[in-house]
Amino acid sequence: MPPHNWRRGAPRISGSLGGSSPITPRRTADADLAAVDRALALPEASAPSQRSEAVGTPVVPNVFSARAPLRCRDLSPAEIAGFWGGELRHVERDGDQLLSFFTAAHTHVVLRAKELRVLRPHGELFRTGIGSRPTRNR
Amino acid sequence: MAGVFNSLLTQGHVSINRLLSTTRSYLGLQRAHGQRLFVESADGYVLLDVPSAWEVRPDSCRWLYAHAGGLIEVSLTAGTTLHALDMRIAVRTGPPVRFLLSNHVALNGDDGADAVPVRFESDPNGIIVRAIPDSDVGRRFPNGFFPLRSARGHRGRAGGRGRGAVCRWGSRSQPFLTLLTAPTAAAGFRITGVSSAPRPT
Repeated sequence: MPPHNWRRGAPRISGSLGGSSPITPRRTADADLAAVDRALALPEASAPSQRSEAVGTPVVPNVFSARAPLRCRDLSPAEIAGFWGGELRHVERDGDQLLSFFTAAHTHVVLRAKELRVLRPHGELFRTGIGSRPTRNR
Repeated sequence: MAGVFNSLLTQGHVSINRLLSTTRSYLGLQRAHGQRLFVESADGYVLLDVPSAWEVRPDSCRWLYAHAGGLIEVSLTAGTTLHALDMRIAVRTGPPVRFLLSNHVALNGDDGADAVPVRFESDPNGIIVRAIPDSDVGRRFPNGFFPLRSARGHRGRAGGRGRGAVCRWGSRSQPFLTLLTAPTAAAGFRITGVSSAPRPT
C-alpha cells in the first residue's frame, strides 16, 4: 500500500486483511509479494460499500485532541552542562547533534533529538521496594 | 519518555490490581492512557509530550521541558522503603502555572476501556480511589483503595475549589480522575498501593 498523507480531520476508510499459506523452508524473497496481489484481489479486500454512519462525523475535541502538545526545544550545551556537568560518558551523536549520554552514577539521559529519531519511544520499568519479586500484597 | 509519567501501574503482579491503564500506540495516537499532565498556556491546556531531555536512574526518572515560556521539570521516584510513587513537578524557569493531571483509571476492568466512572472520595490529605465492587479488584480487595495524595505543603481543600496547590479534582462519568492545581511553581503527588488485605478465602 502506498504511503498515505492523512489530513487532520479527513475521514478515511481502512481495514486489514489476513491470510495464511503453507510454511516454506526457503527464505523470504521478492516473489512472495505476489501473495499481496492475490490478497488484494479477493472480494474481502474491498471496502464495504455501506459506509459506517460514523465516517465523516465530526469528532468532538477534548483536552487531549484540541491542541498540539507543548512545543519543546532542544537544550542548549550550557543547559546540559548546568544539569549534568561536563563528565558525559558513552556520548551518542548524529553528526554534531548530541543524542544521548551516561553521566554520574547510573544515570542515562536521552535527548529530544534521539527520541524523535527512534521508532519506539524510550521507557522505563519501575517497582517499589527492594525485593526481587512481588509478594502477595506488594 | 513521551510524557506518560505512570502507566500500567499495578500492585503486585502486572496483570492484576491495575490502577492506571497501559499506554498504547508507540506513535502517540492515543494520548489519554496512563497518567498525563497538562500545563495551562495562553491558548488553553497543552499536553506535556516528548520532552527536551529524559533522565533515567535505577529508581527515578526526570523529564525536562524547555519551551518558549520557561522550563518545567517532572520527576518520578519509586520508593524503596515505602511502596509509593512520588511525582514532583517544578517550574524551573518561568512564572507559576496551572497544571492538570489526568489519570486513566483501570481499576474497574478492561484496562479502563469501559466508561465506568471512577469511584473516589476525598479526604484532607488527598483522594482515595476504590474499585467498584463488581470488578476483579473490588472482589479481591473489597476494602482496598489507592490513595493519591498531594505532596506535603501542597494540599488542597477536600473536594471542590480551594486555595491549595491542588484546588479541584473530579471525574465526569468516565474512567478519568483529574486534578487541577492552582498556579504554582511546585506540586507533587504520591500514589501508594492497596491498603487492605484481601478477603480471606
